[in-house]
Amino acid sequence: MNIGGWITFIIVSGILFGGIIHSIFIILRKKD
Amino acid sequence: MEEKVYWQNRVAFILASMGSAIGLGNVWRFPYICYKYGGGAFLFAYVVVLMLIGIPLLILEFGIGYKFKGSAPYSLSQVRIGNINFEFIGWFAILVGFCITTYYSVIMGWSFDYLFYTLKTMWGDAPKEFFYKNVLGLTDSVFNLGKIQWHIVIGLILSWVWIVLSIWKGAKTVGKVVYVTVTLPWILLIVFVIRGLALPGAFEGIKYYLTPSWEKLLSPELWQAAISQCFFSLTVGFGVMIAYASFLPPKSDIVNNAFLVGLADAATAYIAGFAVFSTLGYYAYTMGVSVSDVMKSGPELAFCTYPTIISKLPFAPLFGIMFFVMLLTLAIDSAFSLVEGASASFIDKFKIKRWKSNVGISIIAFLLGIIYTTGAGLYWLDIMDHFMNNFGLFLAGFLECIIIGYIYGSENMKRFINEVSERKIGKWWNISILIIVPISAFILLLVSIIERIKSPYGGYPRSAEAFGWGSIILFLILSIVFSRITKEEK
Repeated sequence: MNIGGWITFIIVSGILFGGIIHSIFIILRKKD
Repeated sequence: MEEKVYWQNRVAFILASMGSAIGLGNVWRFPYICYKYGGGAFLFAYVVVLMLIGIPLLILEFGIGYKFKGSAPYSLSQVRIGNINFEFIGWFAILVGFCITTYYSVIMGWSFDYLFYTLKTMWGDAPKEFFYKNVLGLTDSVFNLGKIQWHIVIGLILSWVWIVLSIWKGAKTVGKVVYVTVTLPWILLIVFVIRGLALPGAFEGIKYYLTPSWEKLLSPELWQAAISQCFFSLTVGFGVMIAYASFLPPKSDIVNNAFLVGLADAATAYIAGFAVFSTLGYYAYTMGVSVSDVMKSGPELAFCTYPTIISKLPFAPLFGIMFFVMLLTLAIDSAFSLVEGASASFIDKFKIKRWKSNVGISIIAFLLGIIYTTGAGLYWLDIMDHFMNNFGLFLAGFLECIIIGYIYGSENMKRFINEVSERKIGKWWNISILIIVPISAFILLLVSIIERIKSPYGGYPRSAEAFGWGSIILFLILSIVFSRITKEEK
């Protein structure tokens, strides 16, 4: 895969899965 | 009168909303659109659209349902200017969603049939011919209905039995069913990604998926496609999310739930792209052609291209069963959410028993669905899908924003949402609901109308297309009729 593909993969995965983890983290923090 | 049922816990609500949003489109539409509109560039555009349009709209619908504690028609009837209320817009959204279930359940029926066919890979060397000729019995024109395909009717009955049982006690049963119907397709999708990536030629396929054509970011078509896909995918504009949020118990969150649902929906579509493109890469490799030559979307991808690929894999029946179970579980929670949205509306309005509402709606939808089991069913499905998604959805989304944003007041809604939410929304949300979403929905609606005036959809005759226009007009009339039948207070 070329460099553009890797950049897309890293950034899009980061935003989507980072966002999901962040949201779950907020829920867990509230429970504490 | 029916007792109000609430979600058992937060996870049940989040899973149900995710299940509603995540459907067949995530697997068979998103990857193709992405490839068509610049690969990685489209992915970036989609993330921007999700943040500016999708999630704000999801927050709005959750907010409406939670604030007014009722289905879409009931909730919108609470927004008034003098004696005028906006209940009919809720009914319009519900009717569009109902129309979609009539053919969505037929696609589930095909999947049920394929569960049987895949045991002996009955499509042989000609899956395309098998699908169009043997399964659909496709005729040569839209008005030549041909015969009812009874094997599809059996699949359709199974689909409706499953839908009715899933929503039998509303949020109570839905909250349990979604633990399986949301997690199972995810597990199967991951199996397909891993299997796909291990196949020769897979990374050539992935290259087609992710390589960005940056220049396409300047193309209006790319942004139009990203906004349309976002609307289609999140099941906003059908009143479903409003109904689901109305079942939230007191002290529930809105904003964080909306972020979680919106991001999970996008992540599923993104992951599905890896499953689809890796297998297409393998398919192109075995055929000695380019990936673009084997790229398909929609039913042809699921029922022609995928069966071909499955036949080439070791343990073909096993992968076939897994694939069609994945399609069924992806579709079922979207289908029953649309029926639940309609059922909740009839219960709210006419104070009827839940089981009567569920069974009544399902029988009518089943009977209407028979048209899609005929030899011309695929043509009618295509026409209705186009009209419901391109007119019904954008019109409902546009009107919702105008009513809440300008009449109820976006600031009032924002204040309410922030009071209950663990994550707060700022001015960006007002800008989105007041300007970005309505303008986008209006432009898309206008573009769709102009396109249809210029030429009939998909080359179908104008007389066939009239049924699409007619349905939209009929739904508008029925919406007004329903909203005027009784004026009972809840």
